[in-house]
Amino acid sequence: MKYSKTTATLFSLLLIILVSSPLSENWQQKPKDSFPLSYYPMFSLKRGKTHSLYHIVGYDKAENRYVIPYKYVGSGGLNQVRRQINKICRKGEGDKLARKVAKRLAKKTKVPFSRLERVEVIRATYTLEDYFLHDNQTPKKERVIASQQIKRQ
Amino acid sequence: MKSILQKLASFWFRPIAPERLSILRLITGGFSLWYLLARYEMFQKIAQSELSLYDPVGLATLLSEPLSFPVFKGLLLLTIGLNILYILGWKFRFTGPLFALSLMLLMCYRNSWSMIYHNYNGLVMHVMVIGFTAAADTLSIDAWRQKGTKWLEEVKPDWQYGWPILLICTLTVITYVLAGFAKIYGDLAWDWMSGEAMRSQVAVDAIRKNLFGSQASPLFEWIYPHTSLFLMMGIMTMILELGAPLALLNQKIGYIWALLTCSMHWGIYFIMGIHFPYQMGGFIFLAFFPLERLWFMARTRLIKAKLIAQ
Repeated sequence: MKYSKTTATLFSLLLIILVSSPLSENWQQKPKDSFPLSYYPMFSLKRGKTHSLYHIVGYDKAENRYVIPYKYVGSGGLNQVRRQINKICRKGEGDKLARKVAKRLAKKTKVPFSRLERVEVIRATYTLEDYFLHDNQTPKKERVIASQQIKRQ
Repeated sequence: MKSILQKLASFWFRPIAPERLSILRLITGGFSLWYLLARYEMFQKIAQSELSLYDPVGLATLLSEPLSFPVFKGLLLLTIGLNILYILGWKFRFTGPLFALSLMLLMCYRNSWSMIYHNYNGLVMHVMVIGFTAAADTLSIDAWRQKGTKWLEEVKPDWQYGWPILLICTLTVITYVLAGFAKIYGDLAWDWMSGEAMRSQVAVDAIRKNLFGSQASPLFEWIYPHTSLFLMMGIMTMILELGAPLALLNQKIGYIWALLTCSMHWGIYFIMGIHFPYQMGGFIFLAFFPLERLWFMARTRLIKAKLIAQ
């Protein structure tokens, strides 16, 4: 496709203005990101000394605790599944999530997931310095949002 | 005023060999085809996610409700088909724009399920420029049908092939400048460069990875205590992001900026394990380089081989 110089200039200006337009999100009270017109907010957030997050763990008969991989929880990449969990928990539907994961885990044949008896949706808070400088991976705070037995046939 | 406009026009409409745009068509097309095929199953799973997770972005906001699964699958297959035609450069006048629009819609829809991924914005924007310009005048079925056996003959550089290249470079640069501005206008402003914020960001990411069954980078745990390293990385990131427009002004600066920014993405990968294939593979920066020279070398060999055979 070939254009006149005027059309090419207009096409170029239109795309340049469109791609630059998310800059204004930086001055919004509640900036909203989009695709493909993004203001690229990743890594710009201020983080505290602690970090709280929802995640899912499973327990076997001996009460050994295992992290449940994101692939067993939802579809998409890790961060996509993490956001799905956040959304569900904030809506107060942690029970529903625990039931869904328990149902999925019931079908797993791979150890250790095949031996799990219970899943829990957890809200945990970690201290970054403790976690990385002092090799202390115990959460500072932890709250069980929902718990579900895994029923296998 | 007139001379400034004239300078701008001669800068924007400088002649470039058509092969550079054609090679970019082949590379962006090859990359998107790999992306769509490798994630074929994932695309289908996402389209069947719970409706409550649907939060439309971009072109998907034009849809009144999520697509039904058969319609989505149709869109996915159509995009793959158009992708192949885009690579081949067959009836590009129609298939180029159609592919650009269908890829845009598909990617907007894919990002409408609770998480926006920033690693393919560049690809979608580049395809949008290439799909709507004269990117199939060489190295394509269209060129072969038009020129027959003379399809190997050199086509003169022309401004028609120059401005899309410059537009691709400009859009690429803008995305990095935006990322820099988001840091400056964020809560931390210029303090972001201290490296403390970056260290915390990466630490949070590492904890998430550990708690979601993925693997945090061992390199990060090793460098965590060395705050001066994060300070250096913070300053370097700001220079590359806010200084990106300089890459448009001078070819050599463009090369250096592209190489350093590509290295920055590799650094992110080694420290955070975040994979940005389009950036790490250098594909996003290719428009800055005279790719046509590769084709010229290959063509010379091809012609020599032809002569020897005769």
